[in-house]
Amino acid sequence: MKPLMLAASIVCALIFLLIVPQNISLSVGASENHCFTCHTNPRKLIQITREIAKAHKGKPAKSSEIAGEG
Amino acid sequence: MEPLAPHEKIYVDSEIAEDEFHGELSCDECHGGNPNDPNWKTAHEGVVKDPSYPDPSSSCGQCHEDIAEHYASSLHISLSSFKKITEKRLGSNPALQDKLTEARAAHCGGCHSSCGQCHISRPESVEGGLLEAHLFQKKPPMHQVCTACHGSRVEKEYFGKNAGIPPDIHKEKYFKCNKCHTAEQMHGDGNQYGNRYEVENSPKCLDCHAEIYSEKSENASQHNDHKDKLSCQVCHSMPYKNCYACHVGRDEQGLAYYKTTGSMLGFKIGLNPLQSDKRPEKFVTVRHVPVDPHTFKYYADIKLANFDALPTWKLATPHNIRRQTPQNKSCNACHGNHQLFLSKNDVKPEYVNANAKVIVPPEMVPQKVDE
Repeated sequence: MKPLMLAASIVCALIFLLIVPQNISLSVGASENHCFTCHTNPRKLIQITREIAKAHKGKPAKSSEIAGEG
Repeated sequence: MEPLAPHEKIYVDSEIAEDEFHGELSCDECHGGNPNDPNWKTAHEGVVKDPSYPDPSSSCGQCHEDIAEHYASSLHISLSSFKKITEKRLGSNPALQDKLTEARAAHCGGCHSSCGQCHISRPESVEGGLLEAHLFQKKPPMHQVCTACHGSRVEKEYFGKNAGIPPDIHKEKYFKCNKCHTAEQMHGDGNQYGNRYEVENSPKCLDCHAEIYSEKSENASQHNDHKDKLSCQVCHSMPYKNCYACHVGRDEQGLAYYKTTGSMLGFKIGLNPLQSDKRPEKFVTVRHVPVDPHTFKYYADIKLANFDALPTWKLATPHNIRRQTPQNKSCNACHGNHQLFLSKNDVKPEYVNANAKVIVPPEMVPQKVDE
């Protein structure tokens, strides 16, 4: 019985070590830095910049009266 | 310069986390905002796009305090030459000073740089966008930073983009801007200089070409004959860009604009308006700058009262140096060649007084010599 319990304890401990810390770090990472996760994701950035462009549609960034070399 | 797509401007390379110094900082330590907020709109409340401008002391200056200390004295930050020159031309009317300050803020103030706008992003005046996805660039990339702003004159000269004019010989030797314009020069030294020619550690040709006066030098006699009489560019510069009358204002939507009336390639030798121990030469290359008595008419409907206080043809150091140029082909390519020298006829009658100090009187043009 004892060896069986020992083996079960070891398996449980391994499962704990393998799974739990990852969950902890993931949750910490997720709560810590949305800037990083978003700004390193081109797909997300494309979606957001399109959203921004849509909101600013028709607003020129610079004057059309600019003429000649600056 | 290739424009960046909107998302490219703000894309961050995850490799930044591996930067042993900057990777240890979380985004909000420099930029503010709320990294815990999953909603991008509210997360960006309070975000500072460029934490190094106008004061880098709580961002870059935390570690690079030796550089940040003199930051405000860098001409790229202070833009003191704009202030000094426009105020000198304006005269002493205090009511107009306010108008001029408003105009400068709208039209000149955007042309600054900062730690971030050289080492992390393109300058804002060229619509910004991260360089190398926010990986810190110790040496600012020439095309995306230096010539992104200095494009009309320096870039076209240096890269040979002016029709019929070859690139600068230093470009052909693969020199980047920072080969001559060092970090120490760019970062300021605490002195409030009025223009770039006053900067103590500004580049000098002799820093590399000291041997030109040595007897062993191939052209020692020519160089010694002309020493301290001519700037190096007088013999070694090709024709360069001259710009004329700039007018600034705001359009119906309130957006700032400028209009210049054109530019012309040319080459003129004038009298040195900034003659000093550091620049003893009598003759220098001069470039017409885009100014006019009515440049700020939109803001104050009068002309710059003291316009004649400064020349419209200014000391220039064109960036299209060649060993052989049309004017140094032979002695008499320059001597006696009145066309090369800025004369009264080259200057609009209304600008003659302003340029009195740089116009070369006919009797001062070197006479032809026996070759």
